Amino acid sequence: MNSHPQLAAQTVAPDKNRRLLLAGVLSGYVCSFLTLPFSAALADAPEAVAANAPENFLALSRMLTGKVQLDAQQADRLYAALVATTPDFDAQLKQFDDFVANNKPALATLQATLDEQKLAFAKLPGKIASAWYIGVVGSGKAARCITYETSLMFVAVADRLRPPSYAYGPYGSWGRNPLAV
Amino acid sequence: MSEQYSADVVVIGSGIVGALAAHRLAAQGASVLILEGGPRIDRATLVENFRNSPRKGDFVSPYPFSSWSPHPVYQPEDNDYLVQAGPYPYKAEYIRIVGGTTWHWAAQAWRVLPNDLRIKSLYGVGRDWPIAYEDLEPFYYEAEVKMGVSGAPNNGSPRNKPFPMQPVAESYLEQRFRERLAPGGYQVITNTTARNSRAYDNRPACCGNNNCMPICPIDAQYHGGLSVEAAEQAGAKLIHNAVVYRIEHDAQDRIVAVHYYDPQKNSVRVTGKTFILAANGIESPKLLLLSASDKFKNGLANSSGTVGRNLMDHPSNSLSFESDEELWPGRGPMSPASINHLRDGAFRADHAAFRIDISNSSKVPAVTQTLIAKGVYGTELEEQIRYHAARECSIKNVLEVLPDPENRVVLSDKKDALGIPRPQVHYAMSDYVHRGMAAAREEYTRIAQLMGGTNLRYSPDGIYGNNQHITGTLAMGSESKDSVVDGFGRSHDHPNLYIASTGVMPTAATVNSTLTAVALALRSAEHIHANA
Amino acid sequence: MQTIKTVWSALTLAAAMCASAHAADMGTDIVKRGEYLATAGDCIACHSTAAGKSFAGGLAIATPLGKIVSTNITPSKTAGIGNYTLEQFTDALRRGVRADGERLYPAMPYTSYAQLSDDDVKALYIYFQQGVAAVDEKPAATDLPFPFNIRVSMAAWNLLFLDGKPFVPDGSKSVEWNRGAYLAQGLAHCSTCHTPRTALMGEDKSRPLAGADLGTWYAPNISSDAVSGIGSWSQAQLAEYLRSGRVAGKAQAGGPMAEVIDNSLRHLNEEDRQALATYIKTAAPQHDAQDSQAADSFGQAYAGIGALRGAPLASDTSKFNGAQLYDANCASCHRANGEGSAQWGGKDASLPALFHNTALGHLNSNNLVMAILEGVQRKAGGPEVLMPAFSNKLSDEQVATLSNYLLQHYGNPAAKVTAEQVKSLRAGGETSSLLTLARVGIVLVIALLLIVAVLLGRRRQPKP
Repeated sequence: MNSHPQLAAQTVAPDKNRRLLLAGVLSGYVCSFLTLPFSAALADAPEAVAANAPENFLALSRMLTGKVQLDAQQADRLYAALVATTPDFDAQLKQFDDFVANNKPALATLQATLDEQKLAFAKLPGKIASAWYIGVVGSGKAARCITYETSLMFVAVADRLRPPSYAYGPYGSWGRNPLAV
Repeated sequence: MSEQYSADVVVIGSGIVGALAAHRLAAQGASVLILEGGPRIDRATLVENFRNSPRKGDFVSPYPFSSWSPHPVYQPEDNDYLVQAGPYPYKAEYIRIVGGTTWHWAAQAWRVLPNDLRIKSLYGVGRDWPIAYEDLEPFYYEAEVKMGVSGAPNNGSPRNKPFPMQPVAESYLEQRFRERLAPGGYQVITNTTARNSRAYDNRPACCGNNNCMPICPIDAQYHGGLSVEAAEQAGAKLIHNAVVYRIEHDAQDRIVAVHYYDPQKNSVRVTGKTFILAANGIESPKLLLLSASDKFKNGLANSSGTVGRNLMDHPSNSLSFESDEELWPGRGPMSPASINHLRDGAFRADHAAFRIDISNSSKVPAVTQTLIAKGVYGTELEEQIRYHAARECSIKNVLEVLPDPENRVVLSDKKDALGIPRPQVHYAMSDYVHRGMAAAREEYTRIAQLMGGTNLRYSPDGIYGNNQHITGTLAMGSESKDSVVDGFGRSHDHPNLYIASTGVMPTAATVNSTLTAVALALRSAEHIHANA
Repeated sequence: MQTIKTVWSALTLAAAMCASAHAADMGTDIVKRGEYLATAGDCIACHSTAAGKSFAGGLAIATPLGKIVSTNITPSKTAGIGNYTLEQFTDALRRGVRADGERLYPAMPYTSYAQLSDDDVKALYIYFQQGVAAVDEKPAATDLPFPFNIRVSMAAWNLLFLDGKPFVPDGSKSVEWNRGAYLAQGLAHCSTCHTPRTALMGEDKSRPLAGADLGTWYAPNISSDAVSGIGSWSQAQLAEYLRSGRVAGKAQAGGPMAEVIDNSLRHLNEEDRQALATYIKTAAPQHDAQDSQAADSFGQAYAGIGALRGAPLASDTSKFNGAQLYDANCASCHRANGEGSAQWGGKDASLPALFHNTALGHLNSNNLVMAILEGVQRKAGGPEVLMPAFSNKLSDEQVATLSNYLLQHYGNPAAKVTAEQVKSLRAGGETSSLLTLARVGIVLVIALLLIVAVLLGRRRQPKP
């Protein structure tokens, strides 16, 4: 197809535009490393202490949520927040754990039993369930949001709804019968 | 006093009403300066604040609070900014930031009904407006085009031109309500809202984020922040963190200047030819009262003594129930539909009229909280969340309160951080309201029946929610003896002072007041321009 | 004998092609045919402004050499081409020569339109004379910087780069392939964007459809290479892309390609789109050694905000990290884990996933930045799409931080974005070195001539 000698000469000569582009990409690539330390620092800075959740917390969480698998990072963060907002959380946790081990209570009547017996840690299961399902820990001015979109209440309905502030879908997609999706 | 500013038109307050008036005047060539007490805010930060908030149901929580420009805060603790004199609590919510409170509304953008302007002549209650619906119609349309409004064509308010776009697509929940209520004589119509049903104004159509309140994450919904953008693009200037604390007049009763504090309490004097007070239905009367002078001992614009009086809002009662089919609220806009036919009729001589609003907010968090409080755990909890979140419905009303001079905003003797007196509210509910609420309750019962409802939970008798539609405190009227401004929003006492606010509405009607206030403000702006 | 056979099969092919072209182009009404061809050629995209009247010109097309303003091609006798004969129209279309003899700049893709058949040129001519409303407003004239304002220099350029022969069908290929080739090489002029350019701004014929930087947006490699190009796409997917600009799990059109689909390709009939797809699928593979995998194969669902949910925010957004910028600006439509709305929206879902998405898969990251800066808006009549522009919501640094976060987790991790790049793209892209090159070249030539003149002058002086 290339029958013009000048054209043939041109295709052999270096393409300056291509070089510019490559130079740009390369220097950009190198420069990007400069920002990495900053972004890593930023990611670390605002996060509070995330302790490793102990096994009794994980086991009790599995029992209260009815789930075999729970996200490890979520567990760590929730545990740390519960410790920070509930006085003597670890002590109550141990009491709860012992109670479950000794009495093997049915889940359906667990709360009623704890309330009836006016046990010191009676509010603990509710706090743990709230932490996992609602993602909020503490109350009043001390309340903190730990999870939102990964809160189990939204996971429970993820085939039907999105957590508020996330798009349901393209315009009009909400008109369909939700059971037909 | 360190600096001087000046403009043809000085606007106090940068909410949707003031900003759209500013935009119109700036686009017509006037030099416009907007003074806003609060800070600038951006949508990205608000979305982050919302998602990180421990109180998702508290719509004020994502918004910054400024001690120099305080607004009422009720959660987690009441900051007592709005001092309550009773007997009935009036816990109005509003936000003092650039763009104002419509950053977090549900974009309800109804017109009033023609009869709403004449309830004294027609039904012997309330008062008549000094203007007719026809006077307002072209400005309603102008506002609708600016804001991107759409709704059902049969919503009771006559119009000369069609809406700028189609009504927002129905959610499945709305369809089922409409289908099941029709045999009972209820016509469910799509709400009239400033929410995009197509790409409009370089903003996307609604994508069902179900977060209209407290913040639409994608600007599919119009809000005051966009009005400010438009005003600034048209040449208006805005100074934020400028808390106006005094309006100054001369010997001829003309307004010559306003004075504002910055957060460090440095005072700045701003002069102008025409002044528009657009600082909401509570802060505007507060400022007029604060500006009392030797000649005007009762405050400015107050020869009638009615500045701050006739405070009205829209109280609500409600019913929650479980429908017998899965509807899954939470898909699409939070407030999609209404029942409209109880807004007008001969009954208004006897009890309040109201609009019934059908909620489509996600019920997942509330349902979960209730179940955990009942001690439901494990797989049972998950099943129950799904069962109840699919069926939980709620309906409420927006009910008309009549003007009562004893319901009013005055200055309290408590001061805010800048030493400015905080507003104090006197509020009470009348039997006219209670009878209206009782009538609404009966409708709710029938509606729940038609939806196969069980587990009906009515809101407590006599305890009503509030809708933040602050009207009446700066009422317009043809007589200066019983009103603050004339039909153009111009003060009877000061010829170059206009008021642009829901506060100028002399009656509350049965719909959210924003579009009406905007239309009135555009009409005021036209008047200013014509008489410049 | 062999020659006759070849000629005969070529002729029948040509006839069949024309026949199918006729059949495809809605009958014998020549104005309608011309209109269809003008749509296929997307004349309106350059010859109209967004707010202006159709074909009245006035669009200032940003090129690396400066702005080239499109002309009025309505049949106006004072401002348009109302006085053009068919021959003058043909010269403009195929040779880049105006009625007054001046040359057109190759922003007008006459190098592609040169392939049009006589019949099609005639139909276009009749459409533009009879089917378009005359507009008597002349747009601004093009004024490129010296030396490019000397249009006669285009003659030299054309010598190098204009192969002015009409399309000749390939006898060894199917009718459909030839139709696709005719459309792609001619009216649809794909190569003018998708083939890289040489230093002299001609198409690099050794690398057809290998992808080209258009200054701001990047026209990707659409050769059949399975890694660097679109070899992994099926014909059905290609045809679907040409129809709707959208193939879930692969790509969505933005910028200039979105306009091409809205203005042109979606209005073609389905057979022509299938023909285009058939042809494109056979474009010789152009492999770039830097590419490790196909641009649509990168990434997976990832929710970056995880550990930062509920963490106290920096007081101003300029300090947000990538995950926070994503959460604040993008997740509302694209979801916390980047999966978009494919689950709810069906195949025309307009909230795309960010992984398995070519917009984040190319080594050239310009398209990602342009999508963020300008957004993506499709016209009415197609899928309802509006990704808003973020140019006035995000700074250069924020766009870079966000883009690198996106590329790292959803896209090609070898691709990067810098604030400098964002700044440059906002301003319309890098200018071509050709301008400096040409000017330096001229100075050198003049200097050379001066030196020669001086030397000659010296020589002439009589020796003592």
